[in-house]
Amino acid sequence: MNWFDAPAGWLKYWTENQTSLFQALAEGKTAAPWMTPGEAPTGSLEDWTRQMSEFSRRSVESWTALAKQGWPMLTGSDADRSSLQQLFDPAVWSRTGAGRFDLALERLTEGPTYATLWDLDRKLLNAQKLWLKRSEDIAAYQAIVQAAWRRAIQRFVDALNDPKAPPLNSGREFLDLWIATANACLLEMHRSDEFLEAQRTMTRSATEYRLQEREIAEAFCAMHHIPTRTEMDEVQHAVYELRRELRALQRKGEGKLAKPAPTPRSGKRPAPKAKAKRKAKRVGS
Amino acid sequence: MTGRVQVDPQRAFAEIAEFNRTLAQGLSLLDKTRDRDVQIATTPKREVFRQDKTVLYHYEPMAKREVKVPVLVVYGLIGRYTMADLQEDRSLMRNMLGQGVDLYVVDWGSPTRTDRWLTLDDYIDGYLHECILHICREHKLDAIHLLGICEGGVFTLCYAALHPERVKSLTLTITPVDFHADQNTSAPLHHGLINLWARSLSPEDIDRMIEANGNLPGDLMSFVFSMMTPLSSLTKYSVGLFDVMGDEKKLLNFLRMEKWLADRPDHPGEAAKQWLKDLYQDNKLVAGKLELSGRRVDLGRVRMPVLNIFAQDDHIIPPKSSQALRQHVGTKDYTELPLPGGHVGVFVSGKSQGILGAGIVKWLKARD
Repeated sequence: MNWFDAPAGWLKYWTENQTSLFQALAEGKTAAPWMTPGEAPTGSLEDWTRQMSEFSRRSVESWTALAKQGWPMLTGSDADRSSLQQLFDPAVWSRTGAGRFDLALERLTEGPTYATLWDLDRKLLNAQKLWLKRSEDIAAYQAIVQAAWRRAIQRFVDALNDPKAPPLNSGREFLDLWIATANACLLEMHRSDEFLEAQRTMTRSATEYRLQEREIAEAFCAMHHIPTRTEMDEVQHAVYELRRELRALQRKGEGKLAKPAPTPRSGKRPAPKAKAKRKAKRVGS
Repeated sequence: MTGRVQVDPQRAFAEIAEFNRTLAQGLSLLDKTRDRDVQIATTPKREVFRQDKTVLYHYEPMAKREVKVPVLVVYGLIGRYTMADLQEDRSLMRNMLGQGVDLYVVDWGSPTRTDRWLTLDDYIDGYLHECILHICREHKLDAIHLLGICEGGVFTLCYAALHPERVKSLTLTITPVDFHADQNTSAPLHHGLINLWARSLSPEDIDRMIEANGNLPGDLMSFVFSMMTPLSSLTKYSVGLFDVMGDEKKLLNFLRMEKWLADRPDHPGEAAKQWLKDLYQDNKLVAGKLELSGRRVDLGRVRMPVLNIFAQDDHIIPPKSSQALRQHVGTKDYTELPLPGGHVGVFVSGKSQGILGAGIVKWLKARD
């Protein structure tokens, strides 16, 4: 299915109708009364009813064609059956915005970029898209975790029904068995590739959403003369580099001071120059 | 429910009565406990040096000096050094001071977003180096004893490789060395999960995470740690707390540990990238490919005496990861001291108290 060809269909439908309307006007035919307010219809009521009926028929035909084009589920192909199945798949229900809405957002956010147009809107739409992705990934992660809890319950029930296992003589023993069983199940899940991948994906999409939120916040900051996070990071980076250079200089200075001065051939240590002395004191302080 | 559950009604009543008694007693204890009753890191010390957020403390002596050369304790950036001084009767610091050690500790402070650019180079070759130089100057010494804990162990190990002339001996506790040693082992399920988690991320995931947060959030690391013991993490404030709430001493121990756990700082961003990518993912330390301040960290240059202490049931740093050190260091004076218990248990459990401090001091005395 290609729901995104729908706008082209709508355009075609609208253009055809407009063409018909202008043609009718050019040919001196009567426009519908709701199209020309205040003017009385020129034909008989019978003619008017016939015109309306024809107009409605064409509309219905165009919309039907459009719907078939945009919603191939109705045409009976394999892809359509899978689309139909999707409607009844609980996994799809639990994913916020999965499917068509996501694709619509993708189309909007990945379309052509204009220099001064819709920049903030694009950021907001992108945040919406990333939020949906994040929600989907959280749902996928939770599905894996829920499955592990279900396995834990099943194993616990099996353990309770194990005729070879020792009896449980207290509520605490019962609780301890549950804790040990569930702990093992969750650990197995935590080590599984499926869980690690779901967790990684969820962390990544949450991160991307957070970064997009920052872009929006920064757009607001820029509008209101407030320093942005990125600018603060840049300033801090500059301070960090300066501190690092200062420490290196201090160390260099201390190293020079700590080093014994080269002994002249006469055996006498030369008197340090006043300027060098002042500098050494400043660096070492 | 089934044949396996065979609870005698009389015993069930007794269990319920005991439950109610413990609950009432525990609630009463919790009600009268105040934050001031739950103090950690109380061993007296004074600040002697500071650079940016890094502070060097010198502990007040508690006994006649038995080890001449001072010992500098270095913790990592994941968690705080206060774990080694949790309470009076469970404190590595007090144990060592009581046996005549002149003791210093580095506190890295609580990094914020402004510290996101700090690298491991800055911590090891910058702040740590400055602290060591300060102690050397104060005591007119060329070298001192270093004692690294966990990530701080990696810091001291790298430092010893870069500046061997400043390190008289190196003691490492629960320190990861081979970050891939968790693979192909028959260790328990919860061992090495942090290694697996770190490798599951792509380098770009890590970069983006740091870009978004500035630092590696302490809360995220707490979450990763809790994944290693899922049910005890989930039932900590129900079953775990209930188990100790009837006993004031146990309850206060529990609350002190909670206080330490709650004080998990964020890990500076650039340093976290190196920690996760260079070490956990690429295992550069044992491959001899780790570079700090433009110099390769060559473990073969670690020729001073080395004491390597690890926990036999350490789920965070698998013992094999620590033990790998033996084959990489250049020293001939290498000693291993395996201790019972887990990662934190080595420092806070009653079992290891006598062994840890005494073991270190005995080893130091022989090399002082």
